[in-house]
Amino acid sequence: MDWEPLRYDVERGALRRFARAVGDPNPLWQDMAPPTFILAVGLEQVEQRLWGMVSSGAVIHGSTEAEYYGTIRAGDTIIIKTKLASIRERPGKRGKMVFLAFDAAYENQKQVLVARSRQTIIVTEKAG
Amino acid sequence: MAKELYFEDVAVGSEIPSLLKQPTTCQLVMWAGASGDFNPIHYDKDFARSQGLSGVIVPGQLVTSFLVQLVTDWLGGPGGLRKLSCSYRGMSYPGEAVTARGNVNKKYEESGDHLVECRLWAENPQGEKTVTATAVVSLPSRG
Repeated sequence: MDWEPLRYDVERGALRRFARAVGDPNPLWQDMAPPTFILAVGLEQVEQRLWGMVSSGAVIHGSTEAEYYGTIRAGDTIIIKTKLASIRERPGKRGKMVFLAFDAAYENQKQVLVARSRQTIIVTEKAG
Repeated sequence: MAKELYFEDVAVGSEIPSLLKQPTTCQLVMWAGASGDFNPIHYDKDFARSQGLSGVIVPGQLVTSFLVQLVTDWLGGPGGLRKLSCSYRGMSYPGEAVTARGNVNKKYEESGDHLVECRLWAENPQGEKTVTATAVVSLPSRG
């Protein structure tokens, strides 16, 4: 399942807010995106769709994998292409557990691939 | 900030200087706004309890960001994080310390790049590893 590509404009203020939220005063992040910034942008897209799909139970983050090929700076526009790569089910303590793996590719405005990620999200049948 | 680190300065088995974080609920709210992750288990105590948790929990990606900060502080320059792989294994609660730690697992050269593989983890006050990760960074070489 492929989703509509998301276009994201990287603003300097958003980078600074992000670094501040992490508590990371490194001056590099005044203008450059810290590596986890783009993962958060990609995950936001995944989570927004998931909230529409999950009626009960809990949504848990299982794992994150990423590869970086270039830097992302303020002023860049990133095109994020996300797809649901796999769905696996397993019985767990809280009933059925569904493991969803989402793959995302991040390209800048020059069509250069700057990063890829795989986020694994676990949805449990029951909460608690 | 630390001086820029070179490939030749790194020894396999050496420790990366640890980073101590004390996430607060305020920081979790800042993170929600900055990251766009509005899963209520990270800021709504009643919701978190309805999910069987004892309270709101620190988002895994925030802890991952601490682990990346540990590495970028150590590199002392833009360096290059090439790969990152992390697993979320346990919960951290605001008000509790999160200690980011790491060590050097491997050094190697690949297509002209000088690469270092690090093992990273975040510990809660009980010494349990809540997030474990592997990172590959490229370092400048004096060679």
